[in-house]
Amino acid sequence: MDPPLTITSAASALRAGSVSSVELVADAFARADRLDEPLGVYIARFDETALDAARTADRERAAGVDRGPLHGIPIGVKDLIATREGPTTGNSRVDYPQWRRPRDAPVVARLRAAGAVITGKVTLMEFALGIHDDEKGFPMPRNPWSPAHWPGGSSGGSGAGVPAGMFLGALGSDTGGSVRLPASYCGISGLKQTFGRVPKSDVIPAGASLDLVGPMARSAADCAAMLQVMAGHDPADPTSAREPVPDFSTRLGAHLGGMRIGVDRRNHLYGAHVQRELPRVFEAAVDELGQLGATLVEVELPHYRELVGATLITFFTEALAYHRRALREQWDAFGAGARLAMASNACFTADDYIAAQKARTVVRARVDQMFDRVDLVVSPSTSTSAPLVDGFDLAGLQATLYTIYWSGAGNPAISIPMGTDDVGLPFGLQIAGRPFDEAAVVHAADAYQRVTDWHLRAMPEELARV
Amino acid sequence: MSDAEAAVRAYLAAERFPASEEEVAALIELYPGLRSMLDGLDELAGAQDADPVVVFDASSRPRAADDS
Repeated sequence: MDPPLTITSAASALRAGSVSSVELVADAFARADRLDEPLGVYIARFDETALDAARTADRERAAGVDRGPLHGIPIGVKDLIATREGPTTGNSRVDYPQWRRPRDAPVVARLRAAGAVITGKVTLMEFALGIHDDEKGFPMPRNPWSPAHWPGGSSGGSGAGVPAGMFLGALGSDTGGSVRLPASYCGISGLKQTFGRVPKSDVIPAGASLDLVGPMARSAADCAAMLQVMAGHDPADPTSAREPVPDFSTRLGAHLGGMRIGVDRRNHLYGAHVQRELPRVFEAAVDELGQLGATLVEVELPHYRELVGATLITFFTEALAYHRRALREQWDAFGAGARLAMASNACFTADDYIAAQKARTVVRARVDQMFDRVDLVVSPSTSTSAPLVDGFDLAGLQATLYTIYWSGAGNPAISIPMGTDDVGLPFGLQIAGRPFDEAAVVHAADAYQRVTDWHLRAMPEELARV
Repeated sequence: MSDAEAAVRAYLAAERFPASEEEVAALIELYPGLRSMLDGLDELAGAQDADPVVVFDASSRPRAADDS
């Protein structure tokens, strides 16, 4: 029997007794044995503790204990997030003593309490912003649809591991798009919930006023199941929201009739950086949402360029503030890309930073006004499919990312697969909603996935046979 | 020396980052693009009097990193 592709289907199979958690986890590790070298997903595998946790899940289930849809499900964790099995590296050789100490970040503890099986720590861009440096000895994550291509970042290992079957879900983190970008490039779903919805304590900061830990999995329904467990106030995180946590699954399966979906073409479909095939794929996805009953409304995201600039200044300045002392004392321990990216951010002054924060306030007010007219806004997640690993240019990439705007605004946004380019590399559809209305975002994403199968596509045969 | 080069050398010195000459050259090239991100921020209507997204909450009791 082929193993289940989604968390939702695996949970059904576990409840029906047609598969065990030990079988799911053993299958995930067998795939990692074959595919980890070409795809560069794992920094550390937790085979022994994961199989122990799977056996516990199976025993509990046999005794009538059901911890919910994540009970017995293999989950990978971006190595920016602390776990009790070992140190957190941030994909870096920089030595931060405080990150050597093993402990579970609250978000990991919540997953474990729901029965999830943590399979290991996975690769990322160094500290969520530095491109890969061959000299530092970390695996280079590659795209399961074509290993010559990048899986996206910064949560590249999380993005590559899900379609490769190395785990059914993963934790990524998102500051300017680090969940949604690899989700888009790797043909899976990745949710950036509202800022503050999920605790980020015990997660190495990138941009502290933007960072969040988000779920990545094949389907939007899977992301909703993970978010249900991850969400909720954490007193240790001063940015943690006190908003009540609703049931994110109640609207799944419902018609989209009555939902008003804004479509921003102006900021997303024009320009030299837009790949030729993208407009056709995007328009087909928009048509599908219309056929599902949504009312489509042309909108233009307010002050698009200004909010993207303000968000990047915020991200870069906050990252530099965190790593500044280490840059002085451990310059060569950083990868060449990471240290150059961070040092370049010293060009911003304190008043530049405050100007960016004032701009965020102004634009957020305009965004709120826009949401008086619509319930959701859709766009492509990026203007291109995954770039080649060789010759990759991070500075040139920024113009192709349509994820940054929603990070600065703080609204929830999901990327789900909506088709491919002419060589079979995925494109992502980004769906954004009002603050704390993740339920509407996953509702629309799930409705789209009920009539399409892009999220269930298998990766190329030749790679599956490695 | 160009304005960009002067600015980059000044901030590297202030931060005491030991960048190589090759890295300094790369930073000089990046500088205009990075500064252009500021374009238009001061011209946004209402920006001058807007509260920045920086909140000091006197009721919070933050945990220091080494307290955990």
